[in-house]
Amino acid sequence: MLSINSLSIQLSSRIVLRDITLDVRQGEVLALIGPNGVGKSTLIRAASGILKPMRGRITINDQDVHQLPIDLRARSIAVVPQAVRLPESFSVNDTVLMGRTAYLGWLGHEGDVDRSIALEAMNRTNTLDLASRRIGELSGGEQQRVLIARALAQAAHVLLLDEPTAHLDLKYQADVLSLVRSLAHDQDYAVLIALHDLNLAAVYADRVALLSNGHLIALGTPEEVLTTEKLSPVYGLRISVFAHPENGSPWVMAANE
Amino acid sequence: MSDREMARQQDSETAGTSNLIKRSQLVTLSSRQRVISLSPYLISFIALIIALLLSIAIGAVAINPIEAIKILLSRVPFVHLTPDWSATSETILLSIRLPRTVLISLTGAALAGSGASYQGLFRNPLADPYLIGVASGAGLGAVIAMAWHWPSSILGFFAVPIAAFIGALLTVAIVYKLAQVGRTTPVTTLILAGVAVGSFATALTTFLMLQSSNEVRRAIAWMLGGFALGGWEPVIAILPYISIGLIVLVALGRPLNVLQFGDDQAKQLGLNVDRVRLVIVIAASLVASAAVAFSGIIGFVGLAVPHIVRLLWGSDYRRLIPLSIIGGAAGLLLADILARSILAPEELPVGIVTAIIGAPFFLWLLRRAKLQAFW
Repeated sequence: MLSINSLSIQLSSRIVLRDITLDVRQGEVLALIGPNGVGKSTLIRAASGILKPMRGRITINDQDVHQLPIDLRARSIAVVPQAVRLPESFSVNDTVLMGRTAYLGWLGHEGDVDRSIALEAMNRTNTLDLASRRIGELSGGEQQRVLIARALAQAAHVLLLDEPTAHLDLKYQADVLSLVRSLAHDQDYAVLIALHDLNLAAVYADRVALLSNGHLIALGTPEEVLTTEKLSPVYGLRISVFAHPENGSPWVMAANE
Repeated sequence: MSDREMARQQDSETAGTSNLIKRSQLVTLSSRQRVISLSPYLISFIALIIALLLSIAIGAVAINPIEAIKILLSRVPFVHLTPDWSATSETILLSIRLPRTVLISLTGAALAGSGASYQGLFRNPLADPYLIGVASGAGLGAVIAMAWHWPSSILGFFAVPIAAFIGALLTVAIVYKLAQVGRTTPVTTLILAGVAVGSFATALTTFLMLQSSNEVRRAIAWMLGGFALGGWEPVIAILPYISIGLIVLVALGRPLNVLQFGDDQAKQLGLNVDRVRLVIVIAASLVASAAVAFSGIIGFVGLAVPHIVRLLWGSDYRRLIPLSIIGGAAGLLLADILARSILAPEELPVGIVTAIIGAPFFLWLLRRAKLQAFW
């Protein structure tokens, strides 16, 4: 379980996150939502151990993330960044194998165990057919799935994703998020995912955390958080919420003034 | 069982289900990779051997390569050959041609190996010991040492690379600080900072050389990369620095690959980025400055050779660095053969040849629209 306790983060004299407390449990997808620049990515970077908190702490199974040695941390927490500006020349297979870095040390070489873990990760993310292709030849959706495969190769139990669907077509958005949800529900990963598309959060997240100006405004199921009253002030416009005609999940639209 | 082994054990258990289905794919994938990766080494070794033989053979007194090999073999313990070669050939080969060939090979290997490593370290395809000013900084360090006390003992020879190393480390630290914009090191600022700091170091170097009158001519030839220092002393003096540095760089190919995804991702993958960077910058600067210490400032080898390797065989640092080392030795040997032949019996400094070939290459890289394609 990933626990964030009274976390405040300062970035070059600006306080970006204030007193955030939330838990991500094994087996659930928790989506971070909120307008651009609200601190979603900062929270992901802090939870991954990259950013040091000004106050508060982040623990994983009661161990402080920022106290853990860098390789042990990477064995517990895997991060899926946005698939932008990746080095193009590596093969998919080599890229996924880099997920084994935390187990190899500086001078280690991938062995058969690492290779079969990477193959399993590619298998789960449907990227096995791409194994010998170069990253630069892939579409955005394929690159994103490769990054998820790399994270799976880390054999961690917490997965952090920073807007993995930002530049993807509708089909790839659904592919990536279904995969993420099945990792939580079937493989017991604790998943924290930053999403700016509220309707995707409504469909794929078990719980939703709404951020505004660095504060945690609301935390709960999509039905509890995605309401006109909670969203409208945060986004600064009137937002209508309907029940989705097919599955009943909240369906969010900016109201036509 | 250590922690690491335990962790691996656990992993192999979780992955156990898939092992059955995937084992066959796994085998084909890795054996195919092994076959593909053999030929680059073969090709570059053949190129190196040809360059070595040419370098030994070509000169004011031509030495037949077969004769050269015989002379060399006769020096190997327990090999007995009846000399059918002239004593002059033997003297020229062993005390002039061979030390120069070895010095040039080491220098080329060092420049290309460190160039490839700087490129990976800065995630910048145009980093090169010359362009980022490290060579000039090392040159300044070496000239300060030489101006203070011209190396006359073997101990003195070992001290020059150390002075060059200090100059190189200071330069790389200054250039890197100046070139940083936020969390990135853009191509333009890196090159500009390198040129500015390098020019400053070169100006100081020139000033110092003009002050120390005795060795001025020798030093100027040295600065242009003319391999003016002969004999075995320089070779022996740089060998330990270059071999240790290059071994470290070759060993760190995999961490360099991980670094290509940026500091954040490398850390999130479990790499101790700060420590790896420090070790790489020390090893690369050690190697580059040892090369500069007795061969002078030779530009563009560290840029051109790794780029040719990238174009031919890709940017995987586990292969890029060893192949650049072999290719750098071969490339600088060929440049030196040209330098000896163009105006024979006069010799051009090899730095002029590498600049005449390398500078247009650099401009072509700079102009190329899809710089990222092989990166």
